[in-house]
Amino acid sequence: MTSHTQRSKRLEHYTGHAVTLPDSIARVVARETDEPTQVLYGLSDLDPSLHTAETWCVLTPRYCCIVPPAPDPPTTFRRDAVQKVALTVGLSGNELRIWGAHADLLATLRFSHRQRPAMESIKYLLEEPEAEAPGTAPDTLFQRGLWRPIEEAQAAVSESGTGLLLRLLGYMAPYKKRFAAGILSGLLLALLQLVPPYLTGYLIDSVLRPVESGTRLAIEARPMALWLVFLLGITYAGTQFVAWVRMRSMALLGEFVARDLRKAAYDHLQRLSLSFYSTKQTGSLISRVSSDTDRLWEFVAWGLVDFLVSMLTLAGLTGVLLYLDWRLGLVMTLPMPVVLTILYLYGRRMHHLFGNAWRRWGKLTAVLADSIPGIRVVKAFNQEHREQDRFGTSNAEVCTSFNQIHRTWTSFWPFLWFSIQSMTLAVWFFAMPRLLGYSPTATPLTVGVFVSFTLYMGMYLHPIEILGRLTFILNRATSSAHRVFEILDSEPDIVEADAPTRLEPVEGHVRFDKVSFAYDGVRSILKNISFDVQPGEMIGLVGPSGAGKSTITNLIARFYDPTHGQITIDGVDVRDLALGHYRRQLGIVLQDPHLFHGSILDNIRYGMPEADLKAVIEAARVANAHDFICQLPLGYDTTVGERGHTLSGGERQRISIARALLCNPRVLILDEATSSVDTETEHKIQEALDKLVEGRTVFAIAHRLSTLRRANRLFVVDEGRIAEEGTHAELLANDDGVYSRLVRMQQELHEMYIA
Amino acid sequence: MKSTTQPDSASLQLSRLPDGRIEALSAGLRTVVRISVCFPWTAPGTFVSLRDENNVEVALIEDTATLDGESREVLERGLREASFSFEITAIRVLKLEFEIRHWEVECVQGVRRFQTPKEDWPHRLPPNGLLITDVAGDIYKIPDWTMLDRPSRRLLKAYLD
Repeated sequence: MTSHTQRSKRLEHYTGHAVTLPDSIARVVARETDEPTQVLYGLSDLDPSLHTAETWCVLTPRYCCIVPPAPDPPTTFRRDAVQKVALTVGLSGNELRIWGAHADLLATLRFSHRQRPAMESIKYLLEEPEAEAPGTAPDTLFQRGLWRPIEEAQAAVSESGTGLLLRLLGYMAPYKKRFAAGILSGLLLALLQLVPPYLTGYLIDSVLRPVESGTRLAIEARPMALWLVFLLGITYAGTQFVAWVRMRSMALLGEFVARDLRKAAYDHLQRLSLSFYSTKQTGSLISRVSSDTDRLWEFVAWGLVDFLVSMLTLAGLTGVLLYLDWRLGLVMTLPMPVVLTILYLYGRRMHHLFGNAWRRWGKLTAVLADSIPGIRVVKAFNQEHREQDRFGTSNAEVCTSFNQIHRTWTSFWPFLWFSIQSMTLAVWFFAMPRLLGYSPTATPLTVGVFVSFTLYMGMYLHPIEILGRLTFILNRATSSAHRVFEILDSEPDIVEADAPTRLEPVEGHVRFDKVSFAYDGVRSILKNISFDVQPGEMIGLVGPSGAGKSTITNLIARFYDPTHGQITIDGVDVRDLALGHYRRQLGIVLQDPHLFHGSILDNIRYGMPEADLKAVIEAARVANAHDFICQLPLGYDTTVGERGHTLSGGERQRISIARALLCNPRVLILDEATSSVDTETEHKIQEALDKLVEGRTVFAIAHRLSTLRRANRLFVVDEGRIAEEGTHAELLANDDGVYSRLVRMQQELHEMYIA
Repeated sequence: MKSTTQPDSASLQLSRLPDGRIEALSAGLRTVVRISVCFPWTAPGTFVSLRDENNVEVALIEDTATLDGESREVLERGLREASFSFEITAIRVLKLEFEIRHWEVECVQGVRRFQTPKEDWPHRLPPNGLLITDVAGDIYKIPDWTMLDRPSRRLLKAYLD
């Protein structure tokens, strides 16, 4: 079965409905429209009375066909006949209404949120008759919408638990010798542990009792006794030696495997495109690389060998007990399946209780995380008592949960021990007549054999306990393996060409040729955009939020590839460029610059670690950062905290400008670089930016239009299109233009503040 | 505090258009509106915001009782549609599947399968009501979980404990 089919089956299992267009529906659509190809489809899973139903809405190149469950007839209309589409969002029931000419209602579709992505795409294509057909198969688009929320909540690896563990074992291949040593020493340990009770019994029966009963002289028995004690000593030493080999081999092996997995996951994360990060939470990715790999260490280091050793020990114990005395052996071994079952159930119960306890613990820490950073608000509103109560309630819940755990385990273990001891009592009960010889029909039993027996009985509990815990460890390991392998299995969307072109240097001639882009493959954020920017030109991108300005810069940086059209840099398709080489000649200054933990020097040199100190100072000087850095006691060696929080926003921004300057980029992107700072700081940053833009091709996004005064041309981006283009003066001349409106609004706002 | 820009509820008339949308008539002005419920769990049926196509509030109805009979009927039907959520009558499967909880349930509206994040817990509606939101954002309501059948309660109890 292919991975695509597996994924479809999993999705079907999750949704309980068809996840591809059923053949019967496709036939109806082909018959109704005379078009066998589908562009897009969606499922309306609620009927007019809001009960579950399956009505398919299918777009072909020219038609929209709505196929309700039989016997209702399908509704078909031309896509270009659609005049208006409206989506009404409810709590769980949504409505899509489609009107034709003369406000005739063509269709009403009702559906749950699960179907919204597909329905929103249908709405988009119906509203935009000029929009290009998606370049992705309709099955993929439909399933993508259904998968997305599920994948955001869980790992999307389609392997079974066993498959994942086998794959995990593959990571041990480079450490075959260590692995073999760990497994062999584990098995040897299981066997060696069986020896001392046997030797003890033999010592009693062959040495101590004959001497005690006078059938053998002490002087004769002495060498044998010493020899047996010596053997015991050797066994104990051997046991500890193999235990050491086992622990050392597997603990180190686990660490190596965890290290390799962490490295593979982190390296792969660096390769993945931004689209991957947009679907995953940062915290989730961090925990996959850190705590999940740690859990896998636990499984490799202990779980694997413990499982083998416990199974072998149990099998060995059962064999030895039955060999020593099969009647007593049966008394001991027959109840074992029951004990194992009880242990398994106990493990499950504890797993559940711990799950709940950690959930409540999470709530408690959430209260702390909420109230401590917000302590000024708490005090300002005089709500200390309320916060105390909130914490008190959570604290009490945590206490209740953990006490429930303590009540369970403290009751269970004495009960289990007593059950095992009851079996021991039963063994005593059956052994007594044979030991004392008062039952003439019973087979005699020697003290030595019986002592060995009791020692073996004592060894039964430990492997059982480990097996009881193993379900939990296995569950955790497969879950963690899932999460780690999901990263490793994700493919970057942006792939470098086989024989990439290196532009040395990039001149900065940027050309967009009929470029369209949709993050989801359907709803275009950019629509058929074309422009030509000469080297050294500064372009200001202005327009309302969500118009597509940042998307343009994301495409220039090749964080994404266009859905349609072509972007060229110095005449070469951006997809054919050597990515790393190209990006090294690209500078980006963002609204909220990220500074890494380390010195200011390290941060300025981030893109060019080999830069000399003089160049660093020169870059900082041009960025208006040198003076404030020199005021710091440690100058450029000042450590900036996590995300650079010890510096003000304006200072961090100037460091990020110095960082960009040092790389001497040929194409520069300024994304709202001055929008979150005060006027004085903005002035300093603007000065720095003015020096930075000289001689480079610059794309600057700014809401404060005054910051774009140096721009050669302004592109006004509106609803994914370049609505206007020209210089500041040219655009202002058009009173009804978007730019004029934006300028007027900013002036009014400014006057209001001054008033 | 009552907004002075809102029309008086008594002078507001609501009607259904043939295409199913709601039309508000106030001060001689007809506007197609959609319903937005301000407090769907805290106070359903009160503080209903009527909004036009541009999301501008046309009226805020504090209490449906202030409307005339026909308008009230239109609004109440609209409220039922806007506040629609699935109502669970029985739980057939509730299990953990790699970081998500997989549910197979019977609802008043039919059979549904859905998933919730592993570390996500229901919103409680006192005394015994539960609201469960799945990964896609669909809402499932259990008005009184103690009234479910025994297998459903057992599955739910393990999840709620």
